[in-house]
Amino acid sequence: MTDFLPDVSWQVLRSTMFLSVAAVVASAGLKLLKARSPRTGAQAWSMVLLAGVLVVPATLEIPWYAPVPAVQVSTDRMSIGVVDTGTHLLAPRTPLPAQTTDTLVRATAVAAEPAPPTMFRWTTASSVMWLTGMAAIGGVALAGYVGLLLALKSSWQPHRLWQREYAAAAEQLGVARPPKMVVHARLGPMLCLTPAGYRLVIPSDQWSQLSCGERDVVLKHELAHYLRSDVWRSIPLRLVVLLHWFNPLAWLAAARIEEAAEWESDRIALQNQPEGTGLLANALLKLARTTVRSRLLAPAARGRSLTRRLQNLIRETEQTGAEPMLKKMTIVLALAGILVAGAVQIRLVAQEDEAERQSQRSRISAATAKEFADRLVGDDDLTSQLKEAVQSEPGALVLRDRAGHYEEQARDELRSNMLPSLLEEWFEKTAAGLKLRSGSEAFRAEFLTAAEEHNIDIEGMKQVLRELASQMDMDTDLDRLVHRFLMDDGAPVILYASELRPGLRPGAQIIDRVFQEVFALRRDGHYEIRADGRARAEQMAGKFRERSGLVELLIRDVAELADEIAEVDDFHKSVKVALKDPLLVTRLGLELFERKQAGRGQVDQMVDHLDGAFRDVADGLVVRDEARPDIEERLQIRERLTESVISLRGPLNEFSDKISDHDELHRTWKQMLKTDIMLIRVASEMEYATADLGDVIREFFGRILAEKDNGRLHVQPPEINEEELAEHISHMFHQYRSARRRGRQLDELVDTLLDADLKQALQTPGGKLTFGDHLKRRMNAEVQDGFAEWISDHFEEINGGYAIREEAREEITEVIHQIAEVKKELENADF
Amino acid sequence: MLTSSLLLLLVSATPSTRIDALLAEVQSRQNVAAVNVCSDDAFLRRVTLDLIGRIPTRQELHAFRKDPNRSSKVEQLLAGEEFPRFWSDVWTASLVGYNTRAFGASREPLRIWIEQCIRDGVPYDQMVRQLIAAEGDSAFDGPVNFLLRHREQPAVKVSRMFLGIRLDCARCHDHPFDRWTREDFDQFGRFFESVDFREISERNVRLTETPREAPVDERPTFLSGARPRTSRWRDELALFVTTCKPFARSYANRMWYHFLGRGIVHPPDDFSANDPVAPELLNYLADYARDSRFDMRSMIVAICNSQAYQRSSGHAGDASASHELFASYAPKPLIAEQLLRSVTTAFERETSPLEWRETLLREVDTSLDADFSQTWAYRDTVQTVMRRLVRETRINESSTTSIYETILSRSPEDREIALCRDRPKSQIVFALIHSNEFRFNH
Repeated sequence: MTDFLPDVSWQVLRSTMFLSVAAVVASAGLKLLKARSPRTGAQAWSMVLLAGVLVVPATLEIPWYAPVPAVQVSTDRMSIGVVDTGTHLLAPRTPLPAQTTDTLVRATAVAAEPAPPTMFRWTTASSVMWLTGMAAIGGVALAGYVGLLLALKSSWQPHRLWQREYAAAAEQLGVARPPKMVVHARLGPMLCLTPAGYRLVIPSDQWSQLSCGERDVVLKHELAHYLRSDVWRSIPLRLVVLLHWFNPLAWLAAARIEEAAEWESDRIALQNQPEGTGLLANALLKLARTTVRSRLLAPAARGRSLTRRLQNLIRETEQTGAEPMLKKMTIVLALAGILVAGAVQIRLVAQEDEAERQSQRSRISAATAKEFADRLVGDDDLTSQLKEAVQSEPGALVLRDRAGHYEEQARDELRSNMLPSLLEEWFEKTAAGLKLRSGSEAFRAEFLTAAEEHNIDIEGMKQVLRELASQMDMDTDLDRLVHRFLMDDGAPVILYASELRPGLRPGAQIIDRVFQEVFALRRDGHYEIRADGRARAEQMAGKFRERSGLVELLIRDVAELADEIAEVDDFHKSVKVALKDPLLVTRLGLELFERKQAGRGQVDQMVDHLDGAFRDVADGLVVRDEARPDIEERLQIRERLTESVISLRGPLNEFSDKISDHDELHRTWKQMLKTDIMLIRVASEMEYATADLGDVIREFFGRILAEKDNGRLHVQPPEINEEELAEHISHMFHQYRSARRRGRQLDELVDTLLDADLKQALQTPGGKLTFGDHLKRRMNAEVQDGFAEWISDHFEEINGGYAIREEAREEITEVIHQIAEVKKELENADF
Repeated sequence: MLTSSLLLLLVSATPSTRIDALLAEVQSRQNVAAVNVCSDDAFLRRVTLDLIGRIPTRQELHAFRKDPNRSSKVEQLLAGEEFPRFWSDVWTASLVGYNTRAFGASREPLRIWIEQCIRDGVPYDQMVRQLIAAEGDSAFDGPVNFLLRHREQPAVKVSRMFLGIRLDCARCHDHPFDRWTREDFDQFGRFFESVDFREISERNVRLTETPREAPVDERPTFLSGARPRTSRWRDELALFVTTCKPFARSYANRMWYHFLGRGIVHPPDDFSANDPVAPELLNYLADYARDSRFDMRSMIVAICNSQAYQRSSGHAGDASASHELFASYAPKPLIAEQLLRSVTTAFERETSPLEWRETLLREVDTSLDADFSQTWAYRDTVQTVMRRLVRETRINESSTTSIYETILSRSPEDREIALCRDRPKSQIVFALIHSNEFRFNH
């Protein structure tokens, strides 16, 4: 329930805003255009209240943002150029880097969490206040009505004269069955609706003070309300005001509508009776001097309202003709525009991913085949036969088969043309060479950074591999083969690309591991919430919302405490800075909330505990001696945390950018992942991970290299046989040589680059690897619609339909024949 | 001379009555007398468990007693939200079992996909075609998880699940008494040889297929002798499987098995070794399945409205013969999903599977926190959970009749009321929730 309230109150706030704008426009419009007619006023103010009713707007999604670009992830197998380096060096199914981080990274098991506690939220509080206000006002209104009904019990029948006057007034107005008239000591004149029906109540003393004419016109006024069903009309009015009880403009709108109803009833009462204006005015003035409770009086019979009403009465007698249509339409149209704006909630969303949409098209079903058949045009036999043949499961199957062949062909072409096509996208040809296209500065910076990182890693790996090689004894052929591999220039590149990159840059890997229960990677490079992770995603989002509020409180309270720390020495200065660091405090808070049920109490407890680590001196707070080790440990945590955060922020933002945008939960996660809380959550996993290059490589080779008694290394594979290992190394050499040959095509193009930095980067292994990543990304994103291609090759589009091309008749005959063959195979249906 | 049943067969219009007529014929031949239909309370409990996987609430029980229209109840349950959810559990368990993670597959994407299919009224044969010819990523494309779970021997599972044919033995040798040979097994398996599984990230496996080209006589052969005519062998296999008669018979038999606790061929995945007890019934149901285009709801209505389904579980004479010929209803234990849902219904708790799992984890996990000696505490802890649930439930404050109606969906007999008279309510609740009557569908 408390989760639902903020959403509803937000929508009410939104509609009250539109109501207010409409009220201002209505008021200004009516004044400026001098619209006098009560009907115009009633229409305008009704539209104002209608704006307040549009609490649940329709959502209109406008594709605005660019689709999330397909970005390769590091857990996928990497290659240089288009070469896939294939299987692992070692036997285990999971790559070593994953296992390395398995042993070194704390498990990400999600502990069962207790039910979220109640905590103060201003959104919920204001929602509760809104509901309370509604209940109070509604209660008062209901109490008033009940009071009225109780009071009416002491009313009595009017005497015959008054009854005759009433009957005459009703007859003049054409009211066939007027409501029952009753007399009351204090109430009236008013029309009210009781469970027993309408009642027209008149005050006994005040009524006798009015003249016959005055009584007549007042009775007609009340009967006009009856004819107009104003009592019923006022109910939705009051409900809208109840919804917006906190908005004085809503009350104003309601008052104006009721005032207009009064004026209109006055007009009805006075029709064919011009002399009645004075009578009514006199009656109003007489009744206004009393303290009688009267519906006649309530909306427009005291103070300024009475003045306006009397002015209107006078105006009505002077005014000739109806309100000009132009005036009316101007106001109505202006308000209609506001209503439309309020009725529709615009949401800017990411544009649909063309690649993903295309991939949907190529899955041809029986329904797709039928759609295709319906679009076939032509009277000839072949077209008729095709039409009949494809409208079946065998027909859809054969079409899928044709589409599949086209897609396979397109993929092959894509592979061979991808390199020039990608370069063309980034660079333009000039007389001097290839120039980076304008607007690609961000890409350039990103490319150079990535290439530099890869080169640093590869160079580091090379040194470690050579060091390992120098420690080897070469007793066997396998030893010599492994040694040769370790010494080869290609080894660090191959190993880095295919196996070790995730382990050396654990950030991205850890992000994948932390969120693997929730997200999975799609073909187009977006992350999407797994089908079986949705419940977990919602739960985590809920916890995040709950905890983020508490963390904010904690940061504030701890900072307040930190302000009082006396900077007596460097240690205390560091402590002060550390406690004012939101990252550290967030980390401590999250740790606390993992252990205990999150709540305001825990926040207070933690701050109290921290406070207890200090004592007061003249200049402020100083750390107690016994608490110093604990505080020092916190400082170390902060140091480690800072390092982790630096390396994680980029990958986490990148991860967030890769998340699909197609529903609210995904959008929530995209925002969540960019917060410090999530950063700390992931960073806390990193504290046990090692990013040390040497350790990663040594651990990787530890499975095949064993130390002999003399301290030297030799090959001793425990799990796979030597033949397989040799084969595997040979395969990797082959991959590298193949990549090197293909890379020459890139080298030729790189020679013509005008940008010296890019040119230099692309000549390095790191640069080529980065380029390869982009190639792979592009290949994954490009989805060919084979069926569309097949149709295009064999049919001509005529007036939205497909006609068989002359040159395609043979192929179509083959299609029909193939469908028949499939059907024949299905005939043997029992066995 | 035509028997009255056959006459009924000739003139009867609804599938349910034809089912009964065909069964009556078989029972008459075997000299087995059918018992009466069960009471309204029993029917409600049975059909609610079978269609939405839980016992009825007290309110539902009282409402049905006021208007015990059985066919309307079936329609109402089929139209509700719980039906697709429960049946997706049932099909998922049949297709991939429970331990999918060990095989790199994920249950939930498959279950969600099945639930949506049932909700959308996708015919069973279409669902099966999508399962056999699945492509995509296991994290998002539910059907992929079926082949992923059985990637070692997909032919075995496909033939058992969808054709009722066990090719297990034929993997290694030609069985002397089975018509299916090793060659049949190999040929069937070849339909899947172009399937490739690639792990693209943690718990996300991509299934792709390379279209195959080969001369016709080198292509694999289906059990019917059919060969693929395109390069999409798996797609064609899906068609071969779902258009053959054994598929229809297997489907009908499996549906019958779910409701009656026993297949017409039993066990339901071995048609080769077991004859149908009522061949005419099986053929009729298979034809009905094809005529109704494998619409699951139609089959369910036909079965649930039959007297065979509504028979009482009490019987006289030989129990096994009576059950085998569906002359009386064979009680069957609740499956895990039914037990979970029924317990939460009885205790009037709204608990999602996620919350339930986490509740259990929290209860159990903390008991394993310390050392090995704590392990025995695990057994107590599960019981402790049940005891606490019993203690906390509001039905402890109810009358004995309310408790019986809530848990067993019936009113207590006089002797039961007398027995319970001086007992604490929580004890009664505890006893009933652990009773066979609660844990069986009868």
